[in-house]
Amino acid sequence: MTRLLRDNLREWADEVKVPHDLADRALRRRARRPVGMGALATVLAVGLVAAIAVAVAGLRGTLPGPDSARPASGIALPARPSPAPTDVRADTEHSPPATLVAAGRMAMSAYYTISREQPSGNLQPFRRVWSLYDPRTGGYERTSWGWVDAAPGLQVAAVLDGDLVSRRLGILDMNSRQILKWFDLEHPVGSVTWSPDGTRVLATAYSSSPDVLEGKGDQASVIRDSPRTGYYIVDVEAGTTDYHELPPMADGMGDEKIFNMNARQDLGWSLDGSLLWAPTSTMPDRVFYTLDGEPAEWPEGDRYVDYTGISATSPDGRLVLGDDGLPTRITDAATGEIAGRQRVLQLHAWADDDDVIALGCAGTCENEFNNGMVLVSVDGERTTQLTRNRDTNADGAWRWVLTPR
Amino acid sequence: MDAVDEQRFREFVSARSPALMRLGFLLTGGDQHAAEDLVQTALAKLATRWRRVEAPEAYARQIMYRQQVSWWRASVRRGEVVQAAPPDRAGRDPHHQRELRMVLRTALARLTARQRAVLVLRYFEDLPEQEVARVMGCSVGTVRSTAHRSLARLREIAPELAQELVEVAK
Repeated sequence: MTRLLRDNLREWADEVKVPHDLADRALRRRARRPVGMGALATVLAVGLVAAIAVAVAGLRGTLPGPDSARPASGIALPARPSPAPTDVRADTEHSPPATLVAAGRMAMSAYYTISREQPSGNLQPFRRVWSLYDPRTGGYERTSWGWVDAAPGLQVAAVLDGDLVSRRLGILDMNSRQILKWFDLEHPVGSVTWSPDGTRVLATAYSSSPDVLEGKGDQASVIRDSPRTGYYIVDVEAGTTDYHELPPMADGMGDEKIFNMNARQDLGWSLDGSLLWAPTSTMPDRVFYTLDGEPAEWPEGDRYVDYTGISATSPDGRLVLGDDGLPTRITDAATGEIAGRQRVLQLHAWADDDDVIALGCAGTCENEFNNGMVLVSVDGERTTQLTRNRDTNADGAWRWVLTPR
Repeated sequence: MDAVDEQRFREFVSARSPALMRLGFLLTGGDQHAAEDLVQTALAKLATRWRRVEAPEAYARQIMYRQQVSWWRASVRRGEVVQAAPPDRAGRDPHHQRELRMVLRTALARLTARQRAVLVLRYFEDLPEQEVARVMGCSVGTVRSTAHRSLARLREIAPELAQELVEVAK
């Protein structure tokens, strides 16, 4: 029976139907070089990368500022709450939540849904509709910004004016809802993410929106090579905007060992904010650059939750979040031994040294897309539901963004 | 692409699309629609580089493997994971070939795309580990560990197959 797998794969493959018009379909699509099925969900997932911020306490002001390419006046940023709140707040009544969701050191600072824009010919642009935590009401306020990222501490947010892509980056006071400062950019940008110390904003530049599909309905797919052109590092307090070119990664059609086939290739910060990383379609999931855009080694000791800037290592350094489940596993950082298994789908961030914000599933997890945010203990024995379960495959599904409080 | 190129391209597709569709069907876990989309995408990319590609079938296959990995990598954070509940078990006699086959297919369909891709590349395409690593953009060690975990997952989903799959893994 050693041939069971081989034989069955061959028998199964025999059941495929071969369409007669594949050449016609390919020739019709070739001009735009489509990149795949499930494109909308894929693009969304990738976009999440840069929307997630992470904090390293106490680093503010300790890093050298970037070279100033555009002198301007900065602003004084409000101080982060000290000590930061750590209470657990859930809203399992409403979906999306109507009141702040938080646990330990992390909070859901924002969520977004996807809206399909007016088609133009065979092109289907889409955009994110962001709802940002509003301290005035304790809930979330729907916004019209093209992109939103709350800074660690939830006092200010970086926003992009209008639709993707944008030449105007604003710093929003989350308490007063007033823009503290606008930065005008020469190159349009498509995402923003705060540095871990909450003083600088990394904005990924694109020559055109990466969020465009070709085709209609379920047939729609990503159409183009990545339009990434580079990035800005905006030092908010110094008031400088520093642009660097960084073209997209190889598209996977050649023999390159590292590639990324997605149009959106948002950049992120390393855990201590001293390097940048770019997502790949390969393993490991990212490559690093210096702040000047030169290739850099993986920072020693850094371990990340896949495709995010969030540390997989617990705040006390003892434990490490494992890969997707089900079940998931948390291991001892020193020995690699399993410290606990959890019946959840994904481990997203440490709330404290013993509890993790995770993607849990409803009931027996028969449908992994019916899921919600939970707080789970390392040993997997305690699980607290933080949000209602929702169908993440459905149109209009909301997706959360976690930020240190 | 001129008329001669187009004719050659059409001939290539006509001759090789059954093989490419078989591969696409397995990579997508038996999803006819997704398989068509995967092959169509690969052929569209091939068409754009038709004159420059010396080995078109190998090129198309590489695009399909990588596309599948790429989709998997990007979909990780949206919750594409294996399922908890074992599939319905077919029949009362687990040793019956037909029932075994259905159990295995159901289990294969429930793997992640990457787990499935490694098994398809190793056991359907018969690629050596080094080649699987090259086309999927990972290390040989990752190929081994993924194959190991994939087989372990199959055994977990379908205990009827445990003995047979242990032997495959050797």
